[in-house]
Amino acid sequence: MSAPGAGDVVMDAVTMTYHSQGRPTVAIQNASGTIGRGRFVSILGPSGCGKSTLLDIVAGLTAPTSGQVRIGGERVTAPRRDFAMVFQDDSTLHWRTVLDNVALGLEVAGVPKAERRARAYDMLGLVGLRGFENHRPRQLSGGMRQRVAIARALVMEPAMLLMDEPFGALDQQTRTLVGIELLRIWEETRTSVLFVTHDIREAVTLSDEVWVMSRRPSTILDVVRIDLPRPRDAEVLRGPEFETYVNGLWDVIQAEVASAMREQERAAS
Amino acid sequence: MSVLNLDRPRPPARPALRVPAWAARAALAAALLAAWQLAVASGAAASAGVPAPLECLRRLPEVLGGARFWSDAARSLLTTAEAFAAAALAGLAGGAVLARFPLVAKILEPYLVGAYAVPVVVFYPTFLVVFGLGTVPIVLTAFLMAVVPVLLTTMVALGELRPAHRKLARSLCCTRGQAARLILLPSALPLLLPGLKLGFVYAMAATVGAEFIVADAGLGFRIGELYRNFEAVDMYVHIIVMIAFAVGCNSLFNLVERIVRRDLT
Repeated sequence: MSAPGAGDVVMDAVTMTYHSQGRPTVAIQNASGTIGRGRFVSILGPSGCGKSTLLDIVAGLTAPTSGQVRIGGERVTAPRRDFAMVFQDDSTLHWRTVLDNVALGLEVAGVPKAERRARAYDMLGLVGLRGFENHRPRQLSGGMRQRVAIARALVMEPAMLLMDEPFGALDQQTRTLVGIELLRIWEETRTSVLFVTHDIREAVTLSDEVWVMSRRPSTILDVVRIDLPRPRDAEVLRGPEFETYVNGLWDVIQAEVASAMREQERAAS
Repeated sequence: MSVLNLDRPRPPARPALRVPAWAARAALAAALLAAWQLAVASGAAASAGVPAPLECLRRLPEVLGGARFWSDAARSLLTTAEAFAAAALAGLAGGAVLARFPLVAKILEPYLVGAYAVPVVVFYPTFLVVFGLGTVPIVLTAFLMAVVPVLLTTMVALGELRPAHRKLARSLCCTRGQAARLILLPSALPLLLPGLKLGFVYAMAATVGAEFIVADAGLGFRIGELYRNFEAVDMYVHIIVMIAFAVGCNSLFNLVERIVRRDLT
């Protein structure tokens, strides 16, 4: 791997240990990796393996027990203005219009009203919500609300977009469509993305690289480069190569999912 | 035919009533007043000593024209306002503290929920003994009644903030003030405002109730005095105006709620 560039985000031996009932539990152990500038990287792993925790650590929301995250050599110790997040749960503000939702981050950052409204308006065009700027989130579908959240993140022109199972709460059809929409948007912006998912096909569809996480204590088990051509149109996504990637990832992750499931069943009984 | 007839398809909904809702409401109020008037005129309500509404209406300007009425009203409203303001401040602050420290909240919760059920008015005589006749024991009683619902709803409102909203505030690098003003407070308002409204209703009820028992002024005191002096017409006039005040205050709260909660517009 080449030396990290200016916009690269580096995770260096990130370890996270919890103490519950006096016993230490290692949630993440020595997770390392580099998200190259402008790359779309997915973290794929079984439920409860600490993917979201790792994302929070990269975001600066949670401090790791040991190890560190750096961007351009600078250590991430707190949330940053140039990192933007999209969450699994609906995080739109129901008392704000769609436009004001998208402009929220700019408002916090002190961008003048006229400018932030103009930028938010442009961004609504990019996510295909032009014409909905004066709607309230409640008037929109779940998929549209997640697009509002994506627009709110992208309007900050972030160096890094952190997405925590952003389509997890959507039904399968909507999820696929919004995923394709995200691809189109990403291809226009080329922001670095770290995308958490447990959906193999989603990971292959979107990513340049898929990092497979093991069950607890989680670490990065494998890094799979997805060398599918872009734009990833229907032809690419229905091709045999796509299926080869999906099957390959399933082979890696299958054992992890099975034992994670057994662990959860043991914990429940 | 059973109420839950699942077999038959429902008949199509009737076309909506052509009369606007407010007109129907006004007609209902007029009908009730007419029934009251008729009940008194026919002698059916004689044993209750209730005067006819028209009689009350004739007396209304005289009562409203008197200085005594306004000093009583001012006293009651001021007492209510003082108790409510204290309850709102203490309830919001206390609720925020309890939402911040869940362990403390867990320990205190049974007491707080229990306090909800206590008719605080029973402590009024004690307060009278300690503080003497005046507004202090009334304010204290009304405060204790009002603070509980405000505190409990604040605790619940802040406790039920969506984790995604908290995370959003942090990820956007909000200052504490920005997080509260832009995200957390508006998110909590749908529960906070009804709590405050309930607190006001409790404060007013406790104030008038305590005045009714023992006081030297106030609408509650006056209604009690008129009752003891068999001045039925004046008593009912006071009651009607009292109701109007309470409804007016409640409407004011609803108006504030509609202005503050922009999501309702």
